[in-house]
This record gives sequence, structure tokens and C-alpha cells, in this order.
Amino acid sequence: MTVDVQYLAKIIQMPVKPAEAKQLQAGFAKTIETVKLLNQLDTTNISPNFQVSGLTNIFREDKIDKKRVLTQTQALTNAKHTYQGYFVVPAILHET
Amino acid sequence: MKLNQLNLQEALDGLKNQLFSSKELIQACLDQIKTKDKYLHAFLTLNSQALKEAEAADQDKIAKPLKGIPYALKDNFLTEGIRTTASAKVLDEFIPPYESTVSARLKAAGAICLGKTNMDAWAHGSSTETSDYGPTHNPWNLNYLPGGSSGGSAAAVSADMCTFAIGSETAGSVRQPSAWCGVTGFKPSYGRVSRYGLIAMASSTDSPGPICKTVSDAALITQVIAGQDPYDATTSALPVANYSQNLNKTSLAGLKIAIPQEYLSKDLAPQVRQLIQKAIEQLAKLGAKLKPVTLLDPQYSIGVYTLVQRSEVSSNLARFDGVRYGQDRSAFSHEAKNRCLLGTYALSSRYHGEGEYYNQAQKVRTLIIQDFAKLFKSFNLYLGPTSPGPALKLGASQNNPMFGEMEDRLVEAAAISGLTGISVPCGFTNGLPIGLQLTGPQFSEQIVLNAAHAYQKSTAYHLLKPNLNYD
Amino acid sequence: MTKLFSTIGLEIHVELKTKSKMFCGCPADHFQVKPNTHTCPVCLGLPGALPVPNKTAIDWTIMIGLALDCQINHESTFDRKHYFYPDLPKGFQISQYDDPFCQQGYLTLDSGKKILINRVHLEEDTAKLIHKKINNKDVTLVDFNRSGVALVEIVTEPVVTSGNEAKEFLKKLRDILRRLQVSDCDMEKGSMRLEANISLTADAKHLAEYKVEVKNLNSFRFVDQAINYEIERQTSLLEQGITPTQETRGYDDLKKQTFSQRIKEAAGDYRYFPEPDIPPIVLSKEYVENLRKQLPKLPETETAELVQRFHLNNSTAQLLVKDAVKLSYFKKYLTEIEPVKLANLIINKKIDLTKPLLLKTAAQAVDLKIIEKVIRENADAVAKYKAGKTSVVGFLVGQVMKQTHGKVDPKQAQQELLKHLRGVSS
Repeated sequence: MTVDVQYLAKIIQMPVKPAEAKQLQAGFAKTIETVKLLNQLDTTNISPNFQVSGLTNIFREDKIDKKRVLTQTQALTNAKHTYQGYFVVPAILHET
Repeated sequence: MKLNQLNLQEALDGLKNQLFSSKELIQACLDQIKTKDKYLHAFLTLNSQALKEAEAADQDKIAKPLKGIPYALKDNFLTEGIRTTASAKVLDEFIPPYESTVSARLKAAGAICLGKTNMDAWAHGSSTETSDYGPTHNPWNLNYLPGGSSGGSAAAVSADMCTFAIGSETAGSVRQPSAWCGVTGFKPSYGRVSRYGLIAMASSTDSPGPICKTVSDAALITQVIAGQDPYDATTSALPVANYSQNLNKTSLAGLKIAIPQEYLSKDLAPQVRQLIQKAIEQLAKLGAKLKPVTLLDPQYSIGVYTLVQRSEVSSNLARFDGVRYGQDRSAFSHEAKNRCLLGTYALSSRYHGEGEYYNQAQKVRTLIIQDFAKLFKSFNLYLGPTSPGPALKLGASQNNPMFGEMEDRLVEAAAISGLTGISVPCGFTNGLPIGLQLTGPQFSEQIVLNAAHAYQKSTAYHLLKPNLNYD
Repeated sequence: MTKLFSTIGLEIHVELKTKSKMFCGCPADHFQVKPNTHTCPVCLGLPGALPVPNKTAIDWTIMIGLALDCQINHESTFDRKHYFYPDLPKGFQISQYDDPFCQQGYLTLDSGKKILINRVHLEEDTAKLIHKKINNKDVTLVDFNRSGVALVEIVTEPVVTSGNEAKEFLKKLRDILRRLQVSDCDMEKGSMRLEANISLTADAKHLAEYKVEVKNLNSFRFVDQAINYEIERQTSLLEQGITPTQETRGYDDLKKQTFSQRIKEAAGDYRYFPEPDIPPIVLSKEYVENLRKQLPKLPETETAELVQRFHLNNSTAQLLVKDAVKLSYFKKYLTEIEPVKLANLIINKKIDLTKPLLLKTAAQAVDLKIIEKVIRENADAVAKYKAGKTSVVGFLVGQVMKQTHGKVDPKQAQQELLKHLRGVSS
């Protein structure tokens, strides 16, 4: 099973040139070998640990937090393209 | 001694007793940066307001735990109005409109940020060589790497360009560069310090931590930055102890420290093994009981960490699309792509495809957590070298797709389990520092700090500084 | 000709009317608000920002699930759903996949058929996109005020079989949601959004291999029409031996047709995994029961009660229950006037609901003797009427009312008068 690095690069929109792809493909294969070692361990009846915070039920009250709300200027301050208070992107060809 | 060479405790005492002003202290650091950073490249951005803030501190009558103290901040912590890049070209011009909790707490405590330090781009590495802005150099030898990803912060402390620094650890990124630069690096437990405003790498292991000249300094900084944050749902509600005040034990009588044999394996450099053995003897002299133990083979931790971290990384970098900030995604560098590809693959094949790697990795993570739980039933801490060897030469990380994860293999198990640990200088080999790690269960910060403090007070390695004559 | 069975599933998104957004404290209202003025690092997807869930939004989601007879999961998580689109600031949406809050419920139609509900889960809304031409160039404008608003997703099993059923289901669902006061369910404002997944199968026991998703359905009526159109379109294709393309289609309400939309991206692989920044939510039985106690009487129950206690017919009862104002008026006066009568008066808009109910005794039937008397006694007026001044009838009606002390129905009086006047004009 060879993994198509170009396909993955496309999914995450990180374009990769052919020469780079070759290098990444080799590195990828090596890394998978390390990961495959995990299959040596028996994990039947073991539940996964996605978190180590040990916490549950952390919420916030339904209240407005004025301290964090950004002004329009602050919100737009790092954008390259803005227009009358909006961020601008190339036209999306259809509405969803 | 020059003011910039003082440690935190000394600087606080000096300011309190009005031996010097904050302005003089900051100026001394800025002078050091001016003369030495052209060789070390520890800083990316300097805070142009630092001296003004120092003047204000000198006028400030209100007592604050870190008033007037200069520090260096790793460039993945957002600073309002000050450029923040995570050493990545994608964020080259990013000026955050908000402040990270860690730097906000330091500010409230009176500390003054001198500037943002260099790191591996996006914290992806253990060398600081993958920075899009060029590597930082090890103050002990310019041809060597400072470690990473908090290499800039560690070098800044080691070269006395600040009184203390802040780094972040996903697996080793505070402790390993601290070891390679001969300073003290402390990683609090996952959930002890807020990640709000820290550019996320692996959300389930990222831990901000101090890099300091002494353990005592690290204890005080941790006290200031730790504690629950309503803006970070993974922070613990456990009260933050007065770590520095409680650092009074110099005897370690009754302390049980495990020595995992896997961390002293064959591939360890012989000098490192000797130094660790020496440290073991020192700790025994101080009253600790040390015993060898067996832990799960670190190769599994490497697999778990690599997979989980890269999966979370691929997700956390998805927000950088150039619409609201930053460059577009073509500006990502090689290592970011490298890690995202594996992460994407792992997440893609979760429900279909051959892998199911992600689920297996998270299950093995449970095994590792259980392994430590069992260990800590009989021991308070475990120790070992922080890193398999001393600093490596510039270029060592290149053409090695798993460099970072391999270098951190002695700390990855702890990272994925959320444990707390410290690295303190324990000797030198070939003129390069070696670090000793002491690691404890989650939320055992006091025990770790106490043990490290006692060890450090009985040794003098941390007092040795690099010869900074680079001309 | 093989018989084809329609298998239709509905996907409804409902904006909760919480004060603040789902994962941050920004104001959740975004209707006619200046663009990008209700944002913060979290909902703008700035680096370093972290989500913290809104407790009320979670409670309301569970209440929706309880109102739909769902099973509430003891332990739930939020999951990241990844795709790239300018309206999605983090490059992933925080949603629920593996362990949603509510699963396996149902809503019963009048016919008794149960529309099974696969899940009710909680997620965050995306930003708003507006298409515009600036300097003759087509661009899309993005407003993040809506980004991060709490959104509940309700998904039915593919058991709906017609446009009518879909319409009825949606109406009942909306009534429940409005009754719970968790959302305005205003299609025009976008606080309720609909999608239908439609396919036809020859084997009633097996789903078809394809599925057509229809989006942009801005009213229940359009859902009905779109479904009917799709059933026809797909039937025609299948009868020719062609399998309809698996795709997303929009609905053109002018042409009353669905049309193919370009697929935005390979939607299949969302790379779901549990949200590491949000600890799991564990709900005890007591907690869920406490929420159940807080549920208001649901429309179905209320309707059934009205029918049983006051002998209203089902449709009248439903109309009352649908409208909070009508219902409370009914409840207020049902002891003073016969309930059935009162209900009808309300439904037929014979009463001003803004004013208290004035009880009039029933109008007496018009006594023909009085009509004759008034005509006899008002010969001039009658003469005027016959001469063409028909408006004089009003005066004559007034005379009748006077004679009967206002006890007759003036319309009836007028009718009788006219009958006599016309009859007499010889």
C-alpha cells in the first residue's frame, strides 16, 4: 500500500512540488514503519484516551463577554483584502 | 556581576533593596542582546516599549511578584500589538489583537517582555533549525544547535540576555533545549497552565513552561502563570500552591525515585550515562531511595506521540488560510507539510482504509498512562537523561523526517500522559551541557520542584555559564 | 414496471436563540448587525483561541431531544469536522459525530406514522457569505458575526415518503421548537434551514445506492415541491434504466425545478476526531430528568388534552395550540362561554384578541311583525327607498334595532327589511 502524498497534500491544501513530493513520500514511509510498531501491542478491551485533562463537563454560562469582543477594525486588522467591513475572497461559484 | 547575569531571585532582591532600577536591568539585557544576538539569533522581534515599561515599573508603588523583571517570550505566544510568527513565514506580518493568558498574567505580575524568541517553525522540532528565519545557535558553541522547539528562549537565558524566559512543551520542547543550553527548564502538568493564546501544536499535550537560571526561579514563575483559565476548558481547578515558598526541603529523605532502564539504554553516549550515574549517587546522598524499574519500551511512545501529535497538528494548521490573517497556504515550509501529511493520513484512515492507526495510538496511550500509574504507586518520581546526548551540530535535523520525535524519545511518554517534569544541568561532555530529568505524576509540581531544587543546591553545574566571546 | 419506493430523509438546522455564541461569549444575534462587529479570537479562528461550550445551548439540545423522544447519551463529545471553505474560520467545524447528545427518537404524524429521528446534535454555525461585484470583479464577502452561533442539527431516518409528509413533519417540528422557546425557526432569517435527501428504490428493504441532496429550500412549501419534482425526475431516469447521479442540487422556486450544483469539494472525508480542547460531557440520569421536568407541555399533548376535555375537533385544537396568543385567550375565557363556540370564534377571527371578551346574549331572531311595523311606521323612508335612495335602509335598520332594544342581529334585520321592501315594491 503506497500512500499518495500528492493526494493528501491536495486535501489539506498544502501544495507540494514534484521534487518535494518525492522527499516527503520517503519520509512518510519511514514514519509509518514507526507507527506500525504499535500494532504489536494488544489493546483489546482498552479504551482510547483522547485527553489527559481528566476533566468532564466544563462549560460557560450563556452570558455575553464584552471583554473579548473585537471591534471591526481589530477583526480586520490582519487581513490583506477587506471591503466596507467585510473580508474579501475570490468569488465562490455557487451558494451552498 | 552584570545585572543581566542575575537570576530571578537575585534580581528581585536587588530591585527590592533599590540596588538598581528596573530600567538599568532592562538596559543591561538589551545591551547583551545587542552584542550577542547577532551570533546567537535567539530573538525575532524586540519589544520597542521595554525601556518605557521599565521606567513605569520603577514608578509603580504597587507590590507585584515580578515587577520590573525582563523576560523573553517564545514566539508562539500571542502578544497584543507585537508581531507573533511562531517562526513561520505564514505569519510573517501577523500582529495579534489579543494577549495570551500566560503573557497577560506575567504582565499583571509586573514582568516586562523584552521580545519574542526564535523556535522551530510551528514548534515542529527539537533543534530550532526548522525556523523559517534561520536557526538559533547554542551559546556554548556556535556550531551547535540549541535544541528545540524553544531554542531561542533557552539560548536567551543561557546567554544572560534576560532574567528568565517562557517556552512551551509538546514533548520535550522546554526541557530538551534547556538541557542542551545548560539551563533549567520546567514543564508543568498538562492542564496546569492555560494554553489560551498559545498557537496550538498538539492540543492534548501542549504545556507552557518557564526556562530559568535556577529551579527556585522556575517555581516562582510557574506560580504566576499557572491556574484555571475560563478561556481554556482543559485547565485544572486545582489550587496553585506557593511552589517557591514550599521549596525549603534540602533533604530528600523518604523520596522514592525510579530509574527506568529503558532510558539508560545502549544507544546512550557513555559520558551521559556516567553523568546520570553521578546524579543518582548525589540524590542518594541527599536521602532519596533509587531503584531501577522497567517501563514500556519508549519506541511505543514515539509511535503514539508521532501519530497523535501529527494528527492534531494537521488539524490545528487548518485555520491558516490567508483570509483573515497570514499568508496563503503555499507559504508553509517543508516540516509543516511533512507532519501534516502524516496527520491527515492518520485521520483520514480512521473509519476506513488500512490504518486505524489513530485509534490504536490512542489505545496504546492508555497503556502508557496505566504503566505510569502503576509506577507512581510505588515511586514519587523517576529520573533519566533529558536527552539521549548533548547538543548536535547545525544541520543534524535535516533530511531526517522524524528528527524531532526521535530526539524527544525520553520525554514523549510523559508528554502524552500529561505528567510534569524538569530538566536541570548535571554536567558536561565535550564542553556541552547535559540535563537530568526528574518527572512526576500529573499535578505533582511541588515534589518535582523540591527534588530538583535540593539536587541543584548541592551541585554547581547550573552556575557555569558559556563563554560568550564570539568575535 | 417495478414499483419504486421513495426514501426521503430530512436534515434540519436550527439556530438556537441563546444570548451568546456556542463556544465564546460574543453576542449571538447577527440579523442586521454591522459586519464583523460580533467576533472575538475564538469565533474568528485566530491562532491560539480555544472553545468553551455554552451550557444553555447543551441543555436546550437535550430538551429538543427529549421532546422528540430521543435517547440521551450518558457521555457525549464534540468532534472536529474538517473541510476548507472561507466561511469556516478554523478549517474545521466543531460538531458531533460519534457520540451526539441525542439519538433514536421520533415524531408522530396525524396519520399515526412515526418519522424516526436518527440524531439531534449540537454544532457551531459558519460565517455568512455575500456575493458581490466590486470594480467589475466577482468576489465573495465574508461576515463572521454568525460564525460560532449555536446550531442544532436534526436528522431523520430516510422514512419520509412524500412532499406532504415532509411538510407535516416540518410544521410539527417547528411548533415543538417554538413551544420550547429555543429558536424562532424563522426561515426568512435563516434560523431554520432545510435539506432533503431523496432517493428511490425498487426494494423497500434496501436503500438505493445513490442519494440526491437538495439544498436551499427556503420554505416548507418549497420542500414539498422540490421533493415532488425530484421523485418525478428520478422516477423518469430510473424507468430508463439510468441511476440518478449522486449529487447536490438546488431548488429554483420560479421554475419549480431542482438543478444540479457544482460539488464544492469531496465532502466524504471530514477526518472526524474528538475535539481535544473540550472535555467530554457526562450527563447523569438525574440531570436529564431535571431537564425533562422543565419541558413545557408539548403541542401534541396540549392538542390531545383540548380534544379530550373540551370536545374540540382535532384541527381546531391544533390551530389553537399553534398560536400562543390564541391558546391563552381560549384558556382564559373557556369557563364563561361554551368552549367549542369560543374556539370557533377565535379560529374564525370573530373576536378581537387584544381586547377582553364581551359577552353578548345571543342575538334574537328577527320578529317579522317588527319588520312590518317599522315599514308601516316609516312610509316616507320606504318611499325614498322605492325611489332609488337605497341608503335609507340603514335608517330603517336603526329603527328595527330601536324597537328590539338592540337585541337582534343588525345584519339579519337588514336582510329581512330588504326582503320585505323588495317584495312590497309592487
